[in-house]
This record gives sequence, structure tokens and C-alpha cells, in this order.
Amino acid sequence: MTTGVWLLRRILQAVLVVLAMSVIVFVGMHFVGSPVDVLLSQESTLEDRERLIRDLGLDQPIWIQYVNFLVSALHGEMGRSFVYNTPAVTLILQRLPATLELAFAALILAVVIGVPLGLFAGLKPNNPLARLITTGSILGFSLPTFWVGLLLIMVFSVQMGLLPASGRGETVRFLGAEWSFPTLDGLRHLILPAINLSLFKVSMVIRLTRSGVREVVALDYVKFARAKGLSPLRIVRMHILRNTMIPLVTVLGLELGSTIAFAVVTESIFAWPGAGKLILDSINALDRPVVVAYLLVVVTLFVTINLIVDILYRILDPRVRIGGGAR
Amino acid sequence: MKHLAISTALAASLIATAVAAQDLRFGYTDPISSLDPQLNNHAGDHNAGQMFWAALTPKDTKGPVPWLAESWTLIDPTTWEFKIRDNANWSDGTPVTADDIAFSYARVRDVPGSVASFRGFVRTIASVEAKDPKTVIIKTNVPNPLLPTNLSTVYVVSKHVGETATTEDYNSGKALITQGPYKLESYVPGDRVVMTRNEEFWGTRPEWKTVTFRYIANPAARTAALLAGDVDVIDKVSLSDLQSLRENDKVTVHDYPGLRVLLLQPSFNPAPNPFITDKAGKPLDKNPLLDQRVREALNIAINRDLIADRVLRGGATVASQWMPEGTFGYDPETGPIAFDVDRAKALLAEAGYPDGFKLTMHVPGERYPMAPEAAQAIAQFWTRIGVETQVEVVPFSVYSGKANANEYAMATIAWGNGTGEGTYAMTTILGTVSKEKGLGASNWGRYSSAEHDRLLEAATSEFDDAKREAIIRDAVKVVSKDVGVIPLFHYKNIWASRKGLKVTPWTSDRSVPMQVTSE
Repeated sequence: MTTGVWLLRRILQAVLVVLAMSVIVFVGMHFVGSPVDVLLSQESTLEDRERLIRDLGLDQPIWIQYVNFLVSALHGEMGRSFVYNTPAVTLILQRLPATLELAFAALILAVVIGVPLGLFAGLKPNNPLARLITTGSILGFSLPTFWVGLLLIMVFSVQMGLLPASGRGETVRFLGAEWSFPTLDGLRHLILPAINLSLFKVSMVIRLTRSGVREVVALDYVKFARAKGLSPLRIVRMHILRNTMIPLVTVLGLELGSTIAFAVVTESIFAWPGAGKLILDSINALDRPVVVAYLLVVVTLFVTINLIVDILYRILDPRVRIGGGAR
Repeated sequence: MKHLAISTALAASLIATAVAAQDLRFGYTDPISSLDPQLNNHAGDHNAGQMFWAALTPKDTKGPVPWLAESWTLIDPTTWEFKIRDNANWSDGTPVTADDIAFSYARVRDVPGSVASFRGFVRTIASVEAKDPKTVIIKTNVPNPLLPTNLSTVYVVSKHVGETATTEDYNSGKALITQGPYKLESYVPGDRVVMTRNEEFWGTRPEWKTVTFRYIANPAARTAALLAGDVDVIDKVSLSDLQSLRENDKVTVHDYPGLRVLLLQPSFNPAPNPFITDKAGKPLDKNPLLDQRVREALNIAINRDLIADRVLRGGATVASQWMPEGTFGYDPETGPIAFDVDRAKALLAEAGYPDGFKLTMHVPGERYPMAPEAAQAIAQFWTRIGVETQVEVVPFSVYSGKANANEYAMATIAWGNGTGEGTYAMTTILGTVSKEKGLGASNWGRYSSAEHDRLLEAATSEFDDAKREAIIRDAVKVVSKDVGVIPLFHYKNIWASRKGLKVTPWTSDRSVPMQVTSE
């Protein structure tokens, strides 16, 4: 199968996923309740209520609302947020850079901390420090993010006064969005939430790397390389690490997607103005246009990430390339 | 690594010195939907709106926020004349005129995309005319003594910029030609609003030169931000942090009685209610809550002092009626509701329920602070007199629709008493539901009393303040006797600040930086 057909099939799949998602969201939110009751202020009269229902098009049967949505979506119009009276996509794209930089910072931390530690733990499984690392990684899995976040704030912001407790720092504008990581103030604000968000991932990377290394070390080609007299460093770099990376890349890719989509706990503890907080508020307010648009953005993100992972896979593992060609 | 640590420390000290004594950073609970002051009547929008815009009339004459009218007179029962202050100017230097007032009250009726409209506050207005640039004549379609009160909630925007402005223009700052004490510096949706003092301002200039609104919805995060010195003041302090903040010598807690009341609304629906059954779980053939004695039994079976003290940890004052003590419309003769288990049991027996019945009460999960916890306490009090009560905590998105449709046997509502006087609740919570008259929009229990409605009508057409207050007090007596609603407590307004700052409350529950002064 050529790459072109493969890509086309991927995109077609994505479109189907988006369609199915939008139906689920429409019907689901319809059953939860009416946004009108949430949105109206308590003092508004019955007349206001009827007017709002009309204004939002909620007096139509649900399937007509859905068809109307599809028609305008095809024209590139995803609808306006009920709450913010702003186009839903604009709203999401405004918040997404904050989430993206947080998620990537967490990912980088996970790789930078997790891979060396995991490698060490895998190469020297009996070393006491390696045991400590392996055992310690359990904490990363089991401690609730919420609690760790508050702990980080208490220690580093309140007690030591080193880092700010909340919010996003100074931003600079490039690529049409506001980014905080290029500024010192921005980085200072980024450190704690990124650590908090990365904790789970660091542990996961440690364990994946460790078990990968343990598996590969025992294989014949490593023994052969050693017998050939290659330097230990070269064996680790070319033979062990490279083969360990393959499952790691897959998992990290998926993990990145879910971090972007669901960084909500960290975002709310650190008052980080990202998309996770927006989506949570929107679900609570039954702000359907935002939820639908958000899911669309997330599905697009997932599909893109998976695509990149597949490409990386082909680079890392020649068998996939050959297998893919023969299929 | 060492270099990084040093430069980080250096940066920290630089930032610390940059925050001068004239800057105030305020950590807010309530988010804003936009900077368009006429889009939504939401608490968060008001907090920001008051920085930029004044209304025609005052919400509170002692409060720190100025108003545009110098004086107003009633010419005849449906005609008002308002004089605009001579020195009131827009931030671009043009004077505030009668045309701006007329434009504002016309725009507020139909702001595209508005979901919590200000329309209700101008409903009685028939016409707004400019007699001369500084005099406005407002005619109402019915005599409305509360017109100045109503108008105190509606912000005045400029005609010359506002005429072509959309909500987006307000958010981008393009349409923020303001007449309030502050000017917009920047707005990052969901994160912060930065504003600088309007040095040309016509009223008293506030103390703070730069004010930053930070939006920190999570209560624990808000407390942490204050402790870490990220912000100087926070509002709506979490009750679970109250004790430790009081003990912290770097922080001052400022708490004052507030207007917002938590009420229970028993259902007056005559049909059998699925949430009321006999002890065996079989539906009752009629709604026992229709009997005044049953409602009174439930009312006096609650130990309010205990709830305010233990459940709310002192974050509330006990309520005997919908308005708190010392406000316009509070009836001093309607005393505290006595906690009396024996009488409650006797009343139940008298009403024909000596063994009680089973009841499920409903409360929204996040919307009203500590309401689920208070409901659990109430359920235990009621169970003690034989009314076995279960609490169902429901997300507000589900709750609001069902409560509005009168599906619940016992609904919970927090009412803000936003106008600071008694008729607001009478109109919305207690009046018999009527679309034509615009009454009872949040009367979720469908309480209906002809006597109350008559008093409401009398109060809303009485121009003499003393007489109006007497009428409202009579209405309090009527509703209390009926037990039309079960009042529980009034939430306190609680701020916390770094040491050296003082927060002075306002008779309305608003939270604005002008209330904060250095000691």
C-alpha cells in the first residue's frame, strides 16, 4: 500500500470518528438537561427563558439542530459559545497553546528524567539505587495528581517562596499565539505544573525503559555485539536503547494526546488558563458548541499524533517499513 | 545549574520589587464571560464591569463605586428626570451625555448572544429622552418606585463607540472607551485582566494604580496563591481554609454578613410526588407538604445555629427570612425560628403523620457552597422527627431543569438578593408563577399566596420608602406563617488578604478592588 492511500484511509477514519463523536455529544448533552436552565440568571422571567430557547435554536427537534450544525460545520462555522458569545473554535485555539506547552514540557521532563533512570535501572537491576528508582516509580503512579500539586505549591511556593503558585507567566507572541516558555517569568510559572503533570509519565517511562532494557540485554544480538568487542556505550546507544524506544514512542504518543486533552486537574490546581479548564466549565454549563468543537480539535490532535508515531515507528523499526511495503 | 539557580533567585527578587505598593493583585472565584458590560448579568462580569463603567444610579451611596446621576426627581408617577454630573467624561475626553444613557438602555434590551440578560432591569421603561445633553427624562409604563434601584445594575456604555461595537470589540479593548475609575491594559480570557487607573477620572480616584484580576476558581489554589504571595487579596475564601488562615500571622481574614440566602423550597404541587413516600416506600396519595403544619414541623426541626456554626464553620449567619438583619425589608418582628423537636413531632401527628414519612431532598453539587453538607445535616434533623430524609446531590446542569419544572419535593436555592431590598426575592422566588406578570421565575416549589402577591403589587407601586418597607415586612410575616420557603442561613462574604490591607464590605455582595485599602 502506498503512503498516499494509507494517509487517505487514516483521514477518512478520522472523519468518521468525528461524526460519531458529534452525534454522541449532541444526544448525550441533550439528555443531561437544557443549557437554558444553567445559563439564565435566576431572576430572568419565563419570557426571557422562551426567548433564549429560541435564540439558541433549542426549540427545534434535536435532529434538526444536528443537521443545522452539520450544514454550518461544512461551511467552516462551528457555532458560537453559549456562555462566552465567541466562536467556539476561536475560544479553544486561544486556550490551546497554554495546554500544549504544558503537555510538551511534561513530556520532555518525562523523557529527560525517565529514560536515563530507566536505562540505569534496567542495566544494573541489582544496584540498590536502581531498586530505589524502580520502587519509587510506584509512587508516581499511585499518588493523586491533585494532592501532589498542592504539596508542590506548599513546599516550593508557600514555604520556600521560590516559584509562583499559580497562573501563567509573561507571554510572547509568535506563530499567531501567545507562548510563555520563551520568557524567564513564563518558565518560572511553567516549572511546577509541568512537574506535576509529568510525574505519572516519568514513572511510566522509567518502568517501560527498564523492562525494555532487561528484555533486550538478554537477546543474542546484544551478546554478539559484546563478543565482537564493541564499546559498552555503543552497545547501549545503538542496540539496546534503539530497540527499547519502539514501544516507548507508541505509548508516549498516546499519552501526549491524553495529556493535552485531559490536563484538567493540573490546570485547575495551578489556575493554568488552558483548554482543559475550558472544557470542564463548558460541560458543566452544557455549552454544546464548545464541547463539540473541542472534541473535534482533540480528535484531530490524536489522529495527527498517531500519524507522527507511525512515521517515527517506520524510521525506528525497519521491519515495519518492509512489512508495510509487502502488505 | 548553579547559574540557573542564581538567575532564578535574582528574577524572583526583581519581580518582588516590581510589585510596588500601588499595585493590587486580586484572586477571583467567579469567571467572566466577557468585558461587554451589558452581555451577561453574572457576578464575575459585574466585578470587572464596575472597574470600567458606572451606572446612572448608585447601588450603595456609601460604596466606593461612583454613579453618573447628580440628582433625580420624580415628576409624576411615571416620569423621572435624571441630571447627569457635569464633570462625567469618557476616557477619550468626550462628556457623558443623555444620548449615551438612552443608547445604553436601548442596547441592553437586545445584546446579541446574551444569555443572562439585563433586560429585566429596564422592563418598565417606556421611553428615554434627552431633554438637554445633561438631562434625561425616563418614562415608565407603570409607576415604578424601584426604577433608580433597577438602573443601578445597568452599566452605561458610550453611544459614539458603542453604536457599532460588538461583544468582540469590548473583549479586544477596542470598545473600552470607559467612564469608570480604571482603563483596560490587557485581557487574557480565563486568566487575567490588567487595568490601570484612569487619571482623568471625574470621581474620587482609587488608591491602586494598577490592578490585576486573576481568575483562580479552585478554592485551594486560591488560598495557595495568597500564601505564596502571587496575589494580595482573594475573595470567597474556602470555609475549610478559614481556620488556618485566621491563625496565619501573614494573612488577615475579613468576613462580613452577606445578602445571599440559602432557602429550601417545599413543593406545593398537589399531585403525589415520587420523592415522598410512606415508610414502606409506597407513594402517598397526596403531597403532605401541602399541609402548613407539616412545613412548619420541618421548619422548626432544623437547628440553624448548629449548621451555621459547625457545618458552615462560622461562614454564615442564621436566617429567619430571606433578607438579613439591617436591610430594607427585613422584619424585626419575625424573630429567629425556634428549634423545637417536640413541637415538630406534635405538629406532624396533628397533621395526620404521627409516624412521619420518607422524603428525598435535592441539592446541586457545586453551585452553592456547602449546600450539600448543610442538606445532610438537615436530613438528620428531619429523620429525628420521623421524616426519614435522603439527600440527592445532583450536578447543576441536571438540577436546574428539574427544579425549574417543579419535579423535586424539596428543592434548594441560593438567592443573591442583588438589589439589596426585599421585593426582588418576592418577585422571583415567592410570587405566584405567571408569565404575563413576569413573576416567580425561580419559584421552584410553586408557592402561591394571594395575600403575598397583593402585598408585592402594593410594594412595587408605593413611592414612600417608609410605607414600602412596612408592606414588605407584612409580606415577610405572611410567608413566614405559611412557611412558603424554609430559610436556612445567609452566606458571609469572606476575603483574605496579606497583612496590611483592609477590605471594607459593601451592602451588595460585590467584590471590587476599590473596597481594598492599605491600613
